[in-house]
Amino acid sequence: MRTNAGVAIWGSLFTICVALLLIDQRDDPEFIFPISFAAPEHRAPDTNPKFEAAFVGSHAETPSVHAGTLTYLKNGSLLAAWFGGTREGAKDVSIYFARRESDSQQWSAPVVVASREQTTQELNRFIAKLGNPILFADSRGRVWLFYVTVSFGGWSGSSITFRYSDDDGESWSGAERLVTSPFLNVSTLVKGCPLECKSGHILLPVYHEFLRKCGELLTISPDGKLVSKTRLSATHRAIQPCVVPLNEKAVRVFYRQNGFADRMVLTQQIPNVFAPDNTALVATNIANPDAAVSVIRRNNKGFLMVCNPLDSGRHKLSLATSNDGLSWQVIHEIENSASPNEFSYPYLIQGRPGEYHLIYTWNRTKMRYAFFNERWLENAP
Amino acid sequence: MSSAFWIWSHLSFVLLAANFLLLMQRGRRGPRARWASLSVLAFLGLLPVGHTDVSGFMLAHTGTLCVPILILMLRELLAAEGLVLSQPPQIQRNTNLFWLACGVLLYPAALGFVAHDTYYFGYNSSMGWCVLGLSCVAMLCRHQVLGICLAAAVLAHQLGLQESPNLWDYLIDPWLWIAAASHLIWMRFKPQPQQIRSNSVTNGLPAMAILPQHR
Repeated sequence: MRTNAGVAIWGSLFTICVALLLIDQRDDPEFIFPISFAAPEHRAPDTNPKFEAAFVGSHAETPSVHAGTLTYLKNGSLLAAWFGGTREGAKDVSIYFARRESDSQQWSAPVVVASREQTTQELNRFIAKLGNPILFADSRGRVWLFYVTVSFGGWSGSSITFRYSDDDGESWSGAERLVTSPFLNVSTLVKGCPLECKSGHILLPVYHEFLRKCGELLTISPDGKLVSKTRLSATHRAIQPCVVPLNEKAVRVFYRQNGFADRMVLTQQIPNVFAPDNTALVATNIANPDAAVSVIRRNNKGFLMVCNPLDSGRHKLSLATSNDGLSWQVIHEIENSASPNEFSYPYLIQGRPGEYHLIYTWNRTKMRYAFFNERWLENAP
Repeated sequence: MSSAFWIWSHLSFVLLAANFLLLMQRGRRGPRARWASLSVLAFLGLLPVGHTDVSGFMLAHTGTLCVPILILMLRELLAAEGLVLSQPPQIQRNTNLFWLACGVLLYPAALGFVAHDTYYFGYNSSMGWCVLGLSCVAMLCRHQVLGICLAAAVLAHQLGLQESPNLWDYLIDPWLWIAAASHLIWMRFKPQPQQIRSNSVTNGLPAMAILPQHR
């Protein structure tokens, strides 16, 4: 390149960059936190113990379903999503969506909310298969759907795509991709329930699966822009982080242990989730057969977990409670059958204070929903 | 998908394919044939494949290409037309070492081999100032192409031309890192100067080191 022309090009680029950097108005971490944390209602509503369970819709067209997710709307309705197709990872897998109105208490027929073809078209990028979805209704009423997309390879080649709805799931925006890794943007997956900050930013727990396995937390602005990414754990066998807020900065994170030996649910307490310091992970006393767990704050007394407390297999699904997040006690068995039955991938949320909603995979053929209240938990045998 | 991303994917496809053709032809075709090839490639990139087009299909497998690799590929096409001059080997080596160092700093940490993730810094606007500072240093040291690449990456990041909000994604991608490493290895073990036809048009990509001069 001729020297004068090169200097002129560089000078122009440099001047514009300086001007743009000076007027840069991007999000400042100081502005983002704290977490929108409200201590759950301590007192259980004055109702009778209640436990109900039902299958979510019909799955005639989708022999294999998995990875259910729920979100609770302000009007009391519930939205659910999961992926379904001929088998996990098949090209015909789509993200299905159903609604449970607060008055009818019945699940609507499932509809496709995201397909591989539609996502390919909207991203202008080839998508080979779809995976785990996550639904989340933020405080402004926008419903977010994050889901895994894979362009090549297995689940290690995953990236995250999202769309949102401003009318409680009646219509959805086009698909947008989150770029979360500098290495071809591969190997970021979702499973855990997001949190919201007072600024409206969403904290989305994700995990990395390519070469090394670790938990990460994405900060997404209210308009869907990825603002930051922080690594939660340096341990390479902890995946599917489930982040539970303890106060406006501190969180306790629970992990599925991925590996072959000493399988227990792992946990770590992070004093400031906006500046994680790679706190060491410790094993809880709950066995984990390399299966997903779901944990929420139960009340001021502790935590509530849905898990498969087995050394191997996923034929038992249980509810456990803990005061400190380390020592757990199983209080109910939601499913208990013989192997090779599978009741897995639980996703637990709290609706109204003292009311809990759970969705899980039932033998990979159906999605099962369960509702229970605090009084039912208190009456544990 | 915004029009900027669409343009980015097509530009990536055309430049990548054109450089590949340039490498394959090795100067056997004249300028007219090269420009005709470029036009055909621009058209090919738009052909539908499944529910996307050829460039979208390629992008799904290569990832979004970074700014410097696009500039270097464009520069190579211009060099083939004799519109730009080559860089001295010493500057090529320094430039490649810079990209190599960037990759070593970024990829092991981002892939989880190091506890602290250096990719995190790419979300912070202060990294933009650092890269601009490096760009100044590169210009002062007469590494013009590197200086322009760095400034252009910051500019593209500020304008949000890619999907990623992270400056690292504008600055480097695995293909640039592999290219820089390969070129360094090739420079280390290349035959004596009289044994090759010319390496004077090279500017940093490995394939380009064996391209003939078209002036």
